[in-house]
Amino acid sequence: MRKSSKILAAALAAAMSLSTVAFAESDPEYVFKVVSEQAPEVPESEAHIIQMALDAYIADGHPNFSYEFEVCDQNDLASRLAILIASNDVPDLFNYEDGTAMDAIVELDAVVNVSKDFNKLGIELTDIMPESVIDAKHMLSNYDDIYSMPSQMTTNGLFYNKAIFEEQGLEVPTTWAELEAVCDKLLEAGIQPIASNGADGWGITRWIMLYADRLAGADCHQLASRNLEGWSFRDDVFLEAAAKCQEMYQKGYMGNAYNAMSSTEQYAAFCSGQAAMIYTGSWFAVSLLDTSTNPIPQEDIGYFTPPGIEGSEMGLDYALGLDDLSCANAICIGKKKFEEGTNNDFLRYLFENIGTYQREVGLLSPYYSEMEESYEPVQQMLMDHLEQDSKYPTLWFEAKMDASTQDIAQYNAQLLAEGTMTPEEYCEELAASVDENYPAE
Amino acid sequence: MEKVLRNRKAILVFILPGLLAYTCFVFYPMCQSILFTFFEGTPNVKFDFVGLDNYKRLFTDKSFRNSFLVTMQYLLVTGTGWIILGYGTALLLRYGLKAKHTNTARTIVYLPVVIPGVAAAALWAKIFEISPQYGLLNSLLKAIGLESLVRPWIGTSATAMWAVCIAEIWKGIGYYAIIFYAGLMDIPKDLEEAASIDGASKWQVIRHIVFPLMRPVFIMCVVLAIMNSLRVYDMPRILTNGGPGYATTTLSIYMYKVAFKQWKYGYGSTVAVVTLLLTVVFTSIVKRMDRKEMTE
Repeated sequence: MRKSSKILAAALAAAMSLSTVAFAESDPEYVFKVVSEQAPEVPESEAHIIQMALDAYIADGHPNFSYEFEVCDQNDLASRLAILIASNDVPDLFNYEDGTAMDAIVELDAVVNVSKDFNKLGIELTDIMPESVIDAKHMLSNYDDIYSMPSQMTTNGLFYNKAIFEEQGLEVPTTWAELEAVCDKLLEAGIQPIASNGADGWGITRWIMLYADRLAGADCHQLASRNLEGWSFRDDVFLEAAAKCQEMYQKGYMGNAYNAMSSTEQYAAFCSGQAAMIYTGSWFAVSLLDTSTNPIPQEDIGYFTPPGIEGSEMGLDYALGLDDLSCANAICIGKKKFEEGTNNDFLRYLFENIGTYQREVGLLSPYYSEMEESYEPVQQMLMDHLEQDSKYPTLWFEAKMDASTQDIAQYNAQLLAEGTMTPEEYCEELAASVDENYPAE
Repeated sequence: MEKVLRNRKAILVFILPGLLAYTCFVFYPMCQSILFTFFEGTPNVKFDFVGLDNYKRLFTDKSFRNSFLVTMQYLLVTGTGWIILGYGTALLLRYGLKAKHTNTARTIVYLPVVIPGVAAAALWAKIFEISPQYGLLNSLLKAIGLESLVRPWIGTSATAMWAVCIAEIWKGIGYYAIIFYAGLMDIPKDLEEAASIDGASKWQVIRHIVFPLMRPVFIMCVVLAIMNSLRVYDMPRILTNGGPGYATTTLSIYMYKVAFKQWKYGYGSTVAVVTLLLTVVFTSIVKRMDRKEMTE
């Protein structure tokens, strides 16, 4: 009896120690949570890239690691995050609008201070991205530190259908007046000159920014958004820019359905040949590569940034170098789970490899990659533009506006475009909202 | 049964589960919303007491004023549409159709009510579409030679509100029609027959017999229409997202934007409380008017 007890005890001890060793060698169960405004099935989305990295990480000997994606409409993203933050359940990663919109989340101490804490992953920011990208992130941040990772490297401008331009005997415009002349000629030929996503609001405000920056320099709208250095949206520059934007919409350069047009419909208008040009960002390249939705051959697609204004203080050469280099989407790392440390190994894997995954799907990546650069013609065209022409980086129109001013800018822009609001009223309402939040110095 | 109904403890046992559910899921959140109006920030994280600042802000906030006016316009158009067309449909079902067709007609009339709001809005978005291809309405206009009327119905501030109202009226008519129809069915037939024998026409029967007897049903429908109009959200949110500009931004859409997009829960709750007060005030006015007329 005693002997059998001893054998049983020994067997139990051996089993326990074996199970302890086995447990120590495998990862603990972990569900990595991502909240994103686009589904992982959308190839140009951040969620898609993160999912690619997650799949590879799990396949690479981390079977206990799993993931969950929660897709939220852009308009509902803030509310969803607010609920998660209030219930102390911030996801591991989420994407959110960069710039001042991020401030609300930073103030709630919900995201990792990337400048200070990213190196806890065992890598430095400079190991994975160039200094210029870090500088661009600092430009976006209203703090000394940065609180999010970049999603894509972007350039914003006008893609155009070369076949339509050739048919109509048109050249790429070199001045704003020429751009308008091109639009007039296309209108005469019964072709919509530019596809615009007015339903999103920013599709209209971008034209105010483009004109103002070409009149007074890249940072005028950013300064006016905060009443800094004497700049205000009441200034003549913005009145003139708002008037020009209204004139372009009223002349029909952007068709008549702009206020009901989302970016999906805008893309369709260009790809179907309904519109000869489209103003959007370089992420559009991914859609252009999809032959099921875009029948236009890649070699028939050209790209240029809106040209300068003849006689303006800034000059035509300056305008050629002006570009919005930052994508409005930021990748944010949830602070609580980052500090718990369980997800750190994957985060390190993700940011060391994100550049490769982005290149694989055709995105212009701000991250380093060991992958040999091999771009499709459309992507190469954009890369060439970024490398050769982009000299004066700027931010989008609403980047430095608080949330209520941003709403006013975008909602009123629809009224400005359709002509039910005057440029004076538009600028006054914008300036009044800025005054309320950032009283003039 | 009567004995049970006289027992207060038994009554309490019956109503307790409902009362508890109401307290937890309606009354408590409502009280919390009212409490939130005295704070600003994000609950549980950073929520600062601001006293009556949120209420003061209502008087200077132009966007709130716009949303209030849009909501009143919405109330007037959809509320009136629901009541008039709902009543008209009920009369048609009761007096205009043969008995064998009534069931089918009732199902057809009620069908839009059971379609989820989001699906109905998506359906109307397709009807009003203009790009990349014409929707049903614009195609129809083009087909009958009225191409000059083709326009972005939900993309122009002059027509967006009407478009949203039409979609909302379409979705709600069946609801009010069925309530009115139930009321019409309750009117004793012998009254109508007596009037007919006395030589009253169908219109006179409706005007002098049916209409006065339907008064309580009317009051109930008006109160319901007020409540449903003031809390409208899904149709304008999906069709126009409150635009163009603020043309279709109702109070509930504005409340959502303020609370969840601008991270101002306190102010958002204040807008919600205003909506609640409006509902109480309007329904009280209707009931008071009704009581006054009854006593006269």
